[in-house]
Formats: sequence, structure tokens, C-alpha cells
Amino acid sequence: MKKSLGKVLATAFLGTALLVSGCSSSQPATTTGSDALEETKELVIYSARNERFVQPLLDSFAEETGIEVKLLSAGESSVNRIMEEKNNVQADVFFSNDTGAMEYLRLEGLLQGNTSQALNIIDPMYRAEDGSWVGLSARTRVLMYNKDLISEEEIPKTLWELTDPKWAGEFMITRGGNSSMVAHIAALRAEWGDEKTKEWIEKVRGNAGAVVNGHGDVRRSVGAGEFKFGLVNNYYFHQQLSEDKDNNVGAIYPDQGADGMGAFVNAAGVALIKGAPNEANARKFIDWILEAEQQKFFAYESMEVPLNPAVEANPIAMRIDEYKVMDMPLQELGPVWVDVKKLIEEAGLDLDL
Amino acid sequence: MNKAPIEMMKEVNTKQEQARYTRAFSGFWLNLWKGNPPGTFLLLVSLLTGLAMLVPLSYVFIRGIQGGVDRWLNLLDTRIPILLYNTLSLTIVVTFFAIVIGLSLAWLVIRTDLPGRKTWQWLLALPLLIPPYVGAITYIIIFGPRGWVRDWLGAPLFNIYDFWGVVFVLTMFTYPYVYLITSAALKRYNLNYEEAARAAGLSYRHVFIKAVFPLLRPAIGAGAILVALYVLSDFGLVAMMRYTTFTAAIYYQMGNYDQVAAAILSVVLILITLLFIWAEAKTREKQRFYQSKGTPRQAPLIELGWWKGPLLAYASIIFGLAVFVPLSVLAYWASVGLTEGVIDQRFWGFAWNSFYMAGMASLICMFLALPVVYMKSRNPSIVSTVVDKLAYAGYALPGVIVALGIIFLFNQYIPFLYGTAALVITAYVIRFLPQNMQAADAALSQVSPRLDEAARISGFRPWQVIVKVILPLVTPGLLAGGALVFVSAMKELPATLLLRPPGMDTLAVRIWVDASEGFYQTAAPAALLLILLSIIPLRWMLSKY
Amino acid sequence: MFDIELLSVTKKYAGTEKAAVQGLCLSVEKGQILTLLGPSGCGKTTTLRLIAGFERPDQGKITLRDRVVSHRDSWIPPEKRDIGMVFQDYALFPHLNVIDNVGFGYRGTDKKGRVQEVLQVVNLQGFEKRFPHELSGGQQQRVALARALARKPVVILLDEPFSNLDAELRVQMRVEVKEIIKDAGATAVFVTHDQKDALAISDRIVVMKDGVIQQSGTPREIYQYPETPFVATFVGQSNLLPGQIGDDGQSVITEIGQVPCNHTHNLARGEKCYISIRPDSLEVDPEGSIVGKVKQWTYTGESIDAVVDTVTQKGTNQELLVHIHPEKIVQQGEILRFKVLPNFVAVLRSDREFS
Repeated sequence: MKKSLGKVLATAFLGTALLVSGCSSSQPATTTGSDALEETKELVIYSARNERFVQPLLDSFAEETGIEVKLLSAGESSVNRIMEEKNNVQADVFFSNDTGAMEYLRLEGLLQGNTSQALNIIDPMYRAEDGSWVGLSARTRVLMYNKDLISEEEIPKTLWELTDPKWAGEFMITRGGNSSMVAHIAALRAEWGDEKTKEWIEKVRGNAGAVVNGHGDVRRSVGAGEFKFGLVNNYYFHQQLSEDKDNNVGAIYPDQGADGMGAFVNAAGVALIKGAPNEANARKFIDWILEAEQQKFFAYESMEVPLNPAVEANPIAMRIDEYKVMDMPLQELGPVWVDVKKLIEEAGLDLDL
Repeated sequence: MNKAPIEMMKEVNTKQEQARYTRAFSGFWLNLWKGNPPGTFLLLVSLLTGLAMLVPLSYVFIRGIQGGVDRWLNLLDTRIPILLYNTLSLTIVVTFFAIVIGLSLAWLVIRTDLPGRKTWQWLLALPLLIPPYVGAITYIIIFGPRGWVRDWLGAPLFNIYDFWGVVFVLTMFTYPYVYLITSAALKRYNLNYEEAARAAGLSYRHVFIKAVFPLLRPAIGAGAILVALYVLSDFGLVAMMRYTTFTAAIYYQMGNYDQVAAAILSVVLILITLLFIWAEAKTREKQRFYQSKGTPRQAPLIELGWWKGPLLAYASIIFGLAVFVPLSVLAYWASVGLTEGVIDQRFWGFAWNSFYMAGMASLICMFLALPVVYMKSRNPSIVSTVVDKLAYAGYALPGVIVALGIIFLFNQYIPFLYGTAALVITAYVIRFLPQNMQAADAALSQVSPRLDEAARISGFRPWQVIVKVILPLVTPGLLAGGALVFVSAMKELPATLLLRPPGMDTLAVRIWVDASEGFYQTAAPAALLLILLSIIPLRWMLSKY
Repeated sequence: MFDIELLSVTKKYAGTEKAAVQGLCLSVEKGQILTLLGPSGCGKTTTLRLIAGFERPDQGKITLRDRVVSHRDSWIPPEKRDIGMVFQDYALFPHLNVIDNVGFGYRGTDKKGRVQEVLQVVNLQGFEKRFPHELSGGQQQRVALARALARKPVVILLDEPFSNLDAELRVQMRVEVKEIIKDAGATAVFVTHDQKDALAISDRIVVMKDGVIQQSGTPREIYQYPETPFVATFVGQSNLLPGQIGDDGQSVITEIGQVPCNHTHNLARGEKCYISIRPDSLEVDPEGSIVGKVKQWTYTGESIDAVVDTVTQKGTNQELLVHIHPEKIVQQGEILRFKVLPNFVAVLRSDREFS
């Protein structure tokens, strides 16, 4: 009996060795030859988007094509991960919630140009000049409020008003490193310049009742009445509206006055990574996701607004032409992306909790 | 022509010299091993294990120290003081309460006539089954800002996310360390001291303070250091409860791929950890007691009398808070999940990922533990001691630091394995090999070195002795250790989050992700599965103490 | 012909001041049973482990049946020394049954036959399938012995093999083990701190102390004619008295009178020496020359162990340990006369240190 235990163990060791070697050999070869694209059976996607809005799309792609899709929901660390892995590329496609991040990666030479005709369906305003990334859905910064605690009249109408001491402890923001926050502040900086932006950050940081990790926390807390209002992307408001409880919330698009600067609109999209191990599949995937059906799903589930005007939007979401938007082209966010983080940190808002 | 003899002489000289050097070296080598050097294979496996343990950690350390004066000053100015305060206050307060609860419960179930004490003895150890981050999730579900209490009463009674909330939840899931070790000490405790003290006319309260407590101090210290090390290394619970300690901060920095800042914070955390270990060793040094041997007599139980009711309530409340409540919450959400059909192919895919990576880690640990432990036991020397200590390092170090070292290492030097499960498995091995080593050590200590010698004398070489005699005898211990590693690896969170390759989410990762999003119906079944699996090595763990 | 030869072997353990074994020379003839006898820490176990190859000597040479197994650069590991060993705790493999334990390491094709053969020698037929924990202490001992014999080793080493047995079994096993080893024609080295074991089993005894050999000889020589005070007191009890060789050369003049003595190590007349008088060699005799008062006595069944106070010629007191025949009734304070039986009296050279 005990003798056989030893044999079992020995066999197990042998099995281990075989498994290990099998496991490592089945990993994708990291070739970079883009001329003759290798036929591979898988597709690796890094995603900063909420997995719930991504996974169903990937499942249907896998089903249609037979390609195995491997998803890593790495959140905002995806950008840094892609940079860290530039000599050992792992990912094929990057799902981002922030054009600034994608343009930044492009400027760093980490994205691969794409001349696919499919891209033409999106307004050039919302895609990279070399086609390496393309926006799919719009996301606008709004102030979402709890109707039990504050009325639409009382709520601040401009972002600058958040610096007023009377709001001290009344609202929530996310940490400085949140990609939507970074992009938003980059846009404010383009509008206001460094000094005024810094002042805004300092005062808002001081006034904020809570600085939390993500917008999900903000919308749930405001919905639950922990704070009167919070700075979020518009679809978080739409999401909170659809909750079974804590849904007595409203939102205003800030800076809509005659001389207001308008609300900041960012875009979520996909990028093609340079040196992608499964580049052929990645290109196939990007073409596929630009099909109307997929675009609708991409924006619909998360209650964002599609950038392609031909695609039907979620009825509870405000259309992008119904409010005033900042007139800054999104590509301009790229060059200041890292720099803005420094500015945010210097102004005293922690990038991370 | 004349050269030849000279050269020949030279040759002879060098040969003699070589021989001398060889002899000097072999003399040194024998001295090093006290005349008993290990076999080549054993030495090689052990050294490689030690190295595998050492390299990632020292790499983090070096990267941290090389972080540059600017980064250091910057972090010392801004983040480090706050993190230091957060981390130390939490560690000290949780350790204190864990001692109070663990010790009092141990005393109750071992030394008093508490009704059902035999049952309580194992019931009160059960919180060990529940990963602390899962416990945190259940308490957030109940007391969180949008939790059940708010739904029933209209407002949360208190803020579960504040310092005391974190202290409460951490204490509930760490007190068993103190509880188990002091229970064992109380069982072994020689009554004569207590009786002598009572005979000297002291009241029981005085007896406890003067005779029982001091003798239990080594056990309390051993339990306390486990609690402290846990608090220092915990990521899941504090992150879930929005409390930032060093470990959490390192995780966030790594998420940001600010490896330098992460390495700097890691250096500070390593130093704090060493400080705690050193402090505990120091108090033990001062408190060296030797209990006289002899068969421990059946302790006459202390009659609680009037106190029976209140103390029974106390034990019930702790059990309720640490076991019953979390399990009930999980059961509720799991049933919700089951009716929604969340146990689908995806779920089993995650379960397989967990199983695969934890299983590999446990196999590798079983393979590595024996050589290290065997060499330490049979070939004592400075080398085997160092290897042994190194192999135990993973015990004290948080998963995030291990992960950081592994990312550095694989991305730079082993790129073809980067992005594979190998990273996660390596992290598990470094973190949990000590658990397997303890089990192997315990098993090996039952095997007399005379058996090795008997086998040698019967004509077997050292490695044959291991295969023919040692392995069959320690296999049960190795398997028990492997099971422990397996379960620990299944539950591991931070290193898995940081190192998992695309498409390789584990159950622990899913619990974390889903719970963060408020999808408790998918998190709960996975959590219950982990808890059920943890029962496997519990028996062994309980018997260890 | 010697089966075991140790030549000036020295072994010092790392971290200790004194050598465990110092310049040890030892040789064992083929077929002989040699016992290393001494108190704990005397180096006897180290010597055994040096022969087995579990320790390496710092200096010296060890030869086993014409094969140098340890000398400077040459070293033969234990598994190649062709040795059988019986350990103090027997070291039976708990995961193997009797057959597998005995046959452990046996390489010949006739394994089954050989195992049966040795099991017969140790009288353990019928126990083949048992595991060690299912055997009594004596049976375990026999299995250990069978295992040591199975491979027909050059020498058999026995490390305190009887120390775990109760008194009765111990006496029985001494006889059995001796017979088995003799029947097998093996050369054996046996380590013990128990003089009775040593006297019963050995052809030759080597008494050791502090890593050095004190005396080597047959059991009779060691017991009857100890050469040093240490040997005299360690092997059996003894009364040691200073004195000098008498004029007849067959007696020693001591403070309690002239003691007859057959064996004087050829010391010259008048030379200073010690004399060792075994308690058994003092016999109660009304004609005896030694007068003493019984100070205390213990009845052991086999004898009455008494401490007797005698007055020396100088007028000082000298206590003597005496074994009195158990039939005699003794009372405290009783005055008795003794005579000395010369066969159990030994002369010790006074130049040897007195322990």
C-alpha cells in the first residue's frame, strides 16, 4: 500500500514535467513578422473596460470564427502593461475607455497602423490618423446627483463651481489616476492652462467628501445618498437609473451656458498593437467589431452613445448632438497624457488610493 | 633541450600543488558539512530551490534600493508616513484583539466546563476556512453603505469601511491562529505549576496572571506573529474595505506599472516584516521557559458557575460573527446564483484554471520540500541552514512582493515564459513552499537517522536511501503538505491578480472581480467552493497544533 | 588474520575541544567478538561509526579484511564497506515487513532462500509477513540481527543492541546473539556501556575512556586483573587501596594489612602500587585478618552488599565494600572478620592516573 503511494508520487512528478512542457509549448510564438501574417488560433485582448460589456462580444466573435479569445481585464494598468511588454508583446488588441491613452500608446510607437476600409464608418475626428485605434462610443462627463438630497436648481452648473467652499464634503470624485479623470483634466488644461487647472484640482480635492477608486463607487454612493452628487461619465448615470433601488438620481451636463466651454466628451475604442502575436486575428476582430450589430452592442450594454450615427443608441441616453461639447480634438489628449498625471499629482490629488 | 626537465619539474610542481589545493578544498568542504556532505543531486536541488526563493526577493530589494534618492525622498515625504501609520496601527490593534479573543476562547474550551466544549474546540477554529477577503465581502454585503442593514433600517448603523470596521473583520478571521496555538499549549500545560500557585494561596485570577499567562507567552507570541504577518501581507481584505496598507499600496503601484515606487514601498514593508519577526524572537529569548516533562494529567475543569451563561453567549457570538454569518450570506447569494444559472461552463473554466495552477504548484512544492528539509536534517551545515531559511522567506512576505519580483525576473530574463501560467505557479511555490516544508519536516522528524544509516550499510547510495526508505515514510506528510499548498494557492489573490495570463482567471480572481462589481450571486458559489475545498487539509492543520 | 584494523585513528568533531577518539589502534581477528566498553562519551560509538563509515577520521587508517576503507585520500562510503549493523533502536524499516527488512539490499539471486536461511538462524520462521510494529522487542532485535547477517558481511557492528530490552530478555538475548554470531562465523564489534553485556558476549573487551583505550583483554583478564583504577571501578565494583608490593612478591602491603595477590604485573618488591579488591573476594571468616564494623547493608537477594568500616594501621578509617553470602544474618554495628581470596585481587600500577 505504502509502496504504491511512492509510485503514484513518482508518476505524478513525471506528469508534472510533461504538463509543464506541454503548457509552455502551447503558448503563442512571439513572432513579429507582419508581412506574412501567421495563421494562429487565438486572440489576446487587454481590456480597460468593464468585463461585462466586453465578454459577450468576445464570446460571439469566438463562436463565429472559431478563434479562441483570451481576455485580460487589467483595468487602467493595461496601458502600462502594454508599455512594459513592448519587447515581449503579449496582447493583440487593446480595448480602451480613453482615446488619450490610445493616442499616447500610438505616439510611443506601440500601435500598428491599420488601413482597413471598415474604419471609414467612423468620423475621422474619432480615430487615429494611421487607423491604429478607432473610437466606438462616446462618454461625456456629467455631474450626477441624488434627487432626495439636492434639486436640479441647486446643483452647480459649471465645473469651476466645485471649487466653492459651500460644496465642501458634499460630493465625490475618483482618484487622480482614473483614466476618465486624467483625460478630463487634460482637456481642462487645454482650456484653462496649467495654473488655473492646478488651482481647480487643489480646491476640488479639498472640497471632495470622498475620493474613491472608480466611478462605480461614485454612482452607487450617490444613489445610496452618501453624498449629494459626484463627477462621473454619463453612462454611469444611466446605469444608476436602471438599478432596482437607489435610482432617484439626475444628471446635468456642465458648462452649457452661452459662453460655457461645454461638456467633455471622450471615446472608448479599440487599438491594434504593434508586434501582435496574432495580428491577422486582431485585424479580423477590429473589422468585425466595426459592423453595425457589434457597435450597437458595444455602446448599448454600457449605455454609452455610439459614435457611428447610423447605429441605434440606448433610448435613455442623451444623444451627442443634444448638448454642447468641448471643441478639443481627441487626438490632442495623447501628447499630454503622462504629463497631466504629473500635474495632477503635483496639485495634491493622489493618482492611486 | 635543457628545458625539458625544468618543465617536467614544473609539471610535477603544479600537479602537487593541484593535489594540495584539491586536498585543501576537500578539507574545507568536509569541515563545512561537519564531515558529512550531502549527495550531489540533493545539494543541487536544494541550492536551486534556495536560489529560486532568493532571486525574486533580492531583485525587488535591489531595485528598491536603486530607486534613486529623489524617488525615495519623494515617497518618504508623501506616502510612506501615512502608509506606515495605517499599516502599523492596523497590525498592532488587530494582533491585540486576536490575542484577547484567541486566548480567552482557548482557555474557555480547554480549561473550563463550558457546555459542549469538545464541539466548541473545533467550531471555533473554523474561521480559518474562510478566506479573509471573502469574509470582508460578506460583511460589506450586510453592513456596507448599500448593505442589508441599510435596506432594513434605512441607514447603515456604522461605516464598515472605517478603521474599526477593518479591525473587526480582520480580527474575526485571524484570531484562530492565536486560538489554535494557545489551545495546544494549554493542553500540554503542566498543572503542577498552577496547583503549586493555588496551594500558595493565590486566587484563580492571580494564578492565571502569575502562573498560567507567563507560561503561555511563547505560544501567544507564536500565534501573534502569525496574525501580524498576515495583516502585513493581506491585500484582498483591506483593498475590499478600502483601507490602504503597504501591501495594498504596492499592489496599486504595480497596477500603475510604477515598478520603482512599488519596489521602494516593498523594501520598507520587508523591513517592517523583519522588525516584527525580530521583535517576536527577542521576546521569546527573554522568556525561555522549560516546562518539566511528564505526562500531562487530565486537567480538572474550572467550574464556571454563574458565568456559564454569559461565557457561552460570548463563544456563540464569536462563532456567529466569524463563521455562521459569513456562511449564511454566502449560502444566500449562492442560492440566488444557482437559480440564475451562474454555475455554467465559464464557472467550471475558472475552477479548472484554479485547479490547474494550484495543483501544479502543490506538485512542485511536494517535490522541492523534501530535499531542502532532508538536507537540513541529515547534513547540517551553514549551507543547509541558509537554504532552509531562504525557503521559509516566502512565508513572511506578501504575495504582491513575490509577484513584483517575478514580473521583474520573467520579463527580463525568461521572456518566453512571460505571459504564461508559469509566473503564477512560481509565485504560489515561493509563497507556499514553507507550508509543505513544515509538513515534510514534521514527517521526517519521525524518521530516525538510524534508518538512513541502516539503509546505507545495506548497500544503498544516499539518493537510493531517499527513494527506498525516506520517501515511502514521509509520503503521507508530503501529501498533507501538498494539500495545504493546494488550498492556499486556490485562495491566493494578489499575486494571481497581478500575474495571471490572459484568459486564466481563477476562482479567487472571479470572487474579487465579481464582488467588486457587486455581482455577489457569481462570487458566492466560487467562495463556497473554496471553503469546501479548505476542509480537506483542516484535519491535518488541527492535528498539527 | 585481522578482519578489522584501526591504525592511530583520530576523530575530532567540529566545534569540540577534545578529540572523540585519539590515536586509536585496534585489531579484531576473524571470527572474534570484540566489545568496546566504556561510559557515555568515551568514544566507543564514534569508533563504531568510524568503522561503519558514518564518520570520517581526521587521521589514521582503517582496514576491513585487507581493504583500506579510510586513509587520507582514499575513502569508501558505508554502502560499499560490506558491513552488517544492528542499531540501538534496531532501525527496522517500518514500511517493510520482516522479509523485506531482512532482504533489504540483498543483491543475490537467491534472495528468498537466503532470507529464509537467516530467519531460521534467528529463529523467526512464521513471522515473515509481520511488520516491525507487530513484533516484540526481542523479535525486533532478531530481525535486526538477521538483516545484518543476510548479506554475509565482512563484519557485524552492534551498537548497544540490548539497551532497549527488559532485564530478563536481555540475559536471554545475550546468549542467543552470541550463539548466532558464532554460528554465522562472523567477526563482530559490539558497543556497550554495560559491563555484564560485555563480559557475557565478548571474546575480547576493549575498555575506553575519553577517546583512549584503557585496557584490552579477555573478559576474565579485564575483570580479574584490571590494569587501571578506571577499569577496576568501571567493570564491576572494587575497593581500591594504595600500597606496595610485599617481600614475597605475591602480596601487597596496605594500610589494612598484607593482602595476598596472584597477579602482580611483575612489579618489583617494595614498588608502590594500588590494589583492587572485588567485594566478592572479601569472605567472612572468623580467622580472617581484617576486622571491621558493619556500617550499612542492603539485602539484594543474591548477596548482602555491606559497607564495612575498618581501622587502618595508622588509626584512620577505611570503608570497604563487601558482598556477604545472603544466608548470613547481618546487623548494623556488628563486628566481622574477613579474609581475602587472592584470585580476585589485582595490582594496578600507581603511575596510571586515578579516576
